[in-house]
Amino acid sequence: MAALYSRYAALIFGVCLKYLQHPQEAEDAAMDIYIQLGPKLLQHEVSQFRGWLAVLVRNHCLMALRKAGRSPETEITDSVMHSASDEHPLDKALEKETRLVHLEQCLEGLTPEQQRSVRLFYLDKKCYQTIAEETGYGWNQVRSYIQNGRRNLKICLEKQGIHA
Amino acid sequence: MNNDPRKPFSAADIDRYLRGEMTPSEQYELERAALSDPLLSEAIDGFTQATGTDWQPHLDRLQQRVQQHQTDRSAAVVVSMPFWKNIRQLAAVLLALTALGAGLWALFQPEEKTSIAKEIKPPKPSNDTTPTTIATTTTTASIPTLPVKEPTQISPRSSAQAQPVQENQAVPPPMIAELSEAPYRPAESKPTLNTDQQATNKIASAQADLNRIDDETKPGNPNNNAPVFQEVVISNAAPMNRPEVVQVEGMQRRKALDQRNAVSNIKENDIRVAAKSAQAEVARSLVQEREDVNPKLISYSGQLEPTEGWTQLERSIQIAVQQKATCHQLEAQSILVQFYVNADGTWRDPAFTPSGIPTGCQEIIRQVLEKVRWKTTRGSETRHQIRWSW
Repeated sequence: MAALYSRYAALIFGVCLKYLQHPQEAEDAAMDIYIQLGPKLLQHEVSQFRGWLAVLVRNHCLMALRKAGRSPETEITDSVMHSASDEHPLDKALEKETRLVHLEQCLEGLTPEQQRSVRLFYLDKKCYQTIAEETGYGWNQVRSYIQNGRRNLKICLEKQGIHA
Repeated sequence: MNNDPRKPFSAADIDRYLRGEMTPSEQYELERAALSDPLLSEAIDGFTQATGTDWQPHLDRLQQRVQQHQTDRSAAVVVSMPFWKNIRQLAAVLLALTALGAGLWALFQPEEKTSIAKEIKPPKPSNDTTPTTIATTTTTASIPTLPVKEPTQISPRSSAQAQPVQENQAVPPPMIAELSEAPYRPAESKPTLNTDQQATNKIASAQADLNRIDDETKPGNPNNNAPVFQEVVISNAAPMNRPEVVQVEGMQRRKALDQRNAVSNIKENDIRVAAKSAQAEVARSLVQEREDVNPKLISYSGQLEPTEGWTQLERSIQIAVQQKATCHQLEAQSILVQFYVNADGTWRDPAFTPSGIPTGCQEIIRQVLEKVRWKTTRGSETRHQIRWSW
């Protein structure tokens, strides 16, 4: 268990840091999560460990904030909104020729900013910083365009019957 | 839990990413991984928000705490092992003590003294040494469970030859006193037998005792010097269908006699059961034989039908044939029989309609025709027809 936890300790600490804002509190919360991890793994049947762990860490931090009478100071961003369960097969869909037609149709339905950012990111495989430099968008804007465009593509593809 | 093929990104990778030390390709890989990995994505957010904060010592301390916790748990497990061992040992000892206590309790259980004391009436002291049948019978009937071959079990105190009692001496009831002073004997462990085995053993034991008694009481037997009295035992069982005179002595003899009667009764019951069974068998065979000799009959009635050229019969004919006859089983409900009657009253050339009448049915009708005395008109042959219906 310690070895498993060590693999994700930095990420857990980072998530706790995001919600609790204080390194010491994040450290204590991460330690509590480690102690609870074993029993909770026995209680639940986990198929997607990383997604399950993300939900566990987030809930623990939110509970800690509630007990302390604090509200989460972090901004509920797009990444938070769809990070819990979004494990979309977009990456696979993009790699398959048969789905490119549908993908192209859906891309046409995005906003110009989303469409451009998504194309640069997924098709040209450029990082946020490079896209920001090329388009003149801000780094956070680029990330938001990509995340929102990704979600819209998912909805569009699902309407056309393309699933994982 | 599936095997995640994605590249695990460490805190150092995230730190490099946040510091801008990654190549565009590495950045792209991390960002793409973060899009489908909520844990990584939120961790990046967390580290991004804590920019300027030295979080690395906290992360190092977290790893140390985890290792320490793991070590403590291992130590706790090692410490707890002897405790569980002791628990198991304690449980084993308790179990052994319980079993020992149960065994001792069963060993020292009294052998139903109270019930015996209530049932057995002490014999009245008497100087009369000649036992009588009535007295013996009474005593024997009250001791149905005493073993046969243990004359020494009966204490002298219970007999008429007990020592004289001094005056003013408190004397307990004889049998109760005997029971209270009887030496302790642990109960013998007897194997559990089912009812059939017990009955078989009882019969065998009684038969052996009976044989021994017969041998000992034969006239001329030098061992036959015990006080003798007579008792008449009448048995209706087949092997002993005459009154027997059996000489018995003392209570044990009476006991054996009762057992012999039990054996006789058993035999008699067996014979009765066998007789009933044989009777039933004979009755069944008789019924079968009677059915074979006198099978059930079924009636057929024949009625003359006026046909041109054929003489009508003036009366109907009732016949009875065996139930197994095939006529009434025919699909047709009637048979027309045409035949000639000779001048001497005999008949010939019967013809059956419909055709294809089974041979058995034809034979029945022939037999019927044989039993009828036919008359010819004008002394010559005539032709007759008759319809048999059912």
